[in-house]
Amino acid sequence: MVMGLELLFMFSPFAVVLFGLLSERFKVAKLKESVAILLSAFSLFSVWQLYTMLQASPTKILVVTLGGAPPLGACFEIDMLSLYMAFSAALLGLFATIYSYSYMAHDTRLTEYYTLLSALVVGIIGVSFAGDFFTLFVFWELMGITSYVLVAFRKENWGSIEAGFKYMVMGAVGSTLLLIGIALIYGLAGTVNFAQISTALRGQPMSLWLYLVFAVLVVGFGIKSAIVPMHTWLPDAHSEAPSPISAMLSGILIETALYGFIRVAYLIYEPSTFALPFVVLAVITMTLGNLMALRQNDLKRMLAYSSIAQIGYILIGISTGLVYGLLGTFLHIFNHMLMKGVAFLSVGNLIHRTGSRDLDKMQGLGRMMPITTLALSVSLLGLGGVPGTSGFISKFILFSSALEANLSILAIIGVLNSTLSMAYYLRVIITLLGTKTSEGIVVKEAPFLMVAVPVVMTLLIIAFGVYPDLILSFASDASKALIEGLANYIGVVIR
Amino acid sequence: MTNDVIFIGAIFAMMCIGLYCVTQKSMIRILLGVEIILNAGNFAIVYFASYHVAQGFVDPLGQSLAFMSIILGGSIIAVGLALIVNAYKQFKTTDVDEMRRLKW
Amino acid sequence: MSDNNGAVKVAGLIVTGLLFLSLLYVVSATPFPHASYRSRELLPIELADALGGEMSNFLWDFRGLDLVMQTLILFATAISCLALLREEKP
Repeated sequence: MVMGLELLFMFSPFAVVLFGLLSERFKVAKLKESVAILLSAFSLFSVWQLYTMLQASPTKILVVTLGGAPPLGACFEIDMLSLYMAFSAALLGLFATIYSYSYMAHDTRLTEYYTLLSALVVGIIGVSFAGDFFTLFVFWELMGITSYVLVAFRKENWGSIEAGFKYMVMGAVGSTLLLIGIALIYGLAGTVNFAQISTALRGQPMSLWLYLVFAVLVVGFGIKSAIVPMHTWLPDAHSEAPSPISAMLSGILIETALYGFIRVAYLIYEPSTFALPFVVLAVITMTLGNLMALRQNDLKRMLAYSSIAQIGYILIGISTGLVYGLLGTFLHIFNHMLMKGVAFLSVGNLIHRTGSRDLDKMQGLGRMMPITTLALSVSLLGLGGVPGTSGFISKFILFSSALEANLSILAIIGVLNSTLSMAYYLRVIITLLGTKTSEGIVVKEAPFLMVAVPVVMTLLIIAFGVYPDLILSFASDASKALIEGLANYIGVVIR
Repeated sequence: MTNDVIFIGAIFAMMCIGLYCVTQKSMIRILLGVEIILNAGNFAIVYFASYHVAQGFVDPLGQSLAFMSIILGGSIIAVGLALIVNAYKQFKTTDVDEMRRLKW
Repeated sequence: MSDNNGAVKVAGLIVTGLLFLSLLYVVSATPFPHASYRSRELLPIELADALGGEMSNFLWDFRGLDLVMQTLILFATAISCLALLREEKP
């Protein structure tokens, strides 16, 4: 049991607000932005330190407590899967903070913005690290509250407030359903610790109450994770938020909600109980996401519906129940983080220069903003699964794992949906690269930092598409730690 | 067993009332619906915690979880009220139908 | 939708009532197995006068991590209310 300086980054929002107030009082320019960037780099460095600490011995799991012993006390239980999700979150947080340096330069209330962005990253990392159901709930609420406010951040627009309010109401209902799930599990098993829940409930014959717990968990986690009947907040919230926040929300927050569900469900249920519900949910989510994206003219709304479709592909991996399927799931989570991040940040560049989100007003913009359009094109091709980008590898693993689990209908529907999604991705690329220009549009390329961040992420997409071994081994460790490392996970807490 | 029926029925009834309030027109009523739903969740924790120990004793874990969850509910309501104040400052109304302009 | 709003309300009420009654029937048919999968030792506290102090001891001994992170949430709530309510000239 370790409690060292590695978790000090969780208190970084306090430091950001301190430096923000100092910079407002003494009128030092760009102090709070620089401190925010340094602290998010420090978070990434801390997560990297934890990774090297765990990498040294493969069966090691870190349990962090503050005072009492774990089965009754709250704890963090950090294994490879937690570090994988935390690494994705810290990486995207760093990129989003660097991008915000110039995107939000003309906004007001910047102290609060950087504090809340830092707290959002801490919340997401905390959900990944949680070893106890109530600790997960506390960090879930932190993640939720900061994201509700960040969506409604530009409060001068009416759309932001409506989107933030709608997101808040649905998020609160989801949190309560999660709380009822905690209550039911606590009533059945007498504990909320993950290891003890697994000891108590795994392998029991499925009774009515265990089915009810499964349904409550699916709906409770699914509202935040935008599985289809509960997805209605997502298009509004992701299109009205400022672009770096859209990238954070689409890139890592909905996947972390899905990670929460995977973690809890693989502790309690055998993987074979997942197959039917998740096949149905995956098919509806993919199809509805792609079909609704076809009708959009608003660029960010189209990308938001595309996020729903990508969550559908991720659900295919969960429904197989194999280690190979989960490898595809987690690899696609990382790749989607990079690709959707580049997409939203590049679209942020386009919106910053043209002032509107309408695709029809952006015809021929590619000639005037070449680097941004190149980054956007690579990311959209990656989202569609073109070979050479990392999106191809994760989609290949997902669909071949569906074939391996005798769910060939799911693989066929997945491939058809992937093809369908290329329709609207190619429409965006062709509109931007065409020779016909909308009238009155003469713009230059976006400022340096706003171009540099998508370019670096695009290089990562191509690098992981051509040499996937770097991230493939990490994702493979993560998925093995979930299924094969379960005995180890329990054994660390319960001796 | 009749305790089960009464209390689980009460939790379900509170969720339904809360969900009805969430579909109302005024933003303040929506927020009150959210509060009712959050209270249903807290109620569930306290109820299921009461069966673990004998009469005259209390199980501290359940009560602690409910205690911390009430605080979290208060935070959500605070953020919701700040959003309502902003909406009122802009529109001079808290009617959701008039503000609904985001379509498909 | 405002024309047949009354019909929608009545239909919703009937569906909810049916769901409620079926839930009551199901709960009475298969009772909830309270604490039947329990595997941990309990730590019951007797209902006495100094309950506040004992609960506080329990909270800080065993749930300290949650309490510290809850201060982070309360801090984030304060900052978000500031973010939403502050009027600043750009």
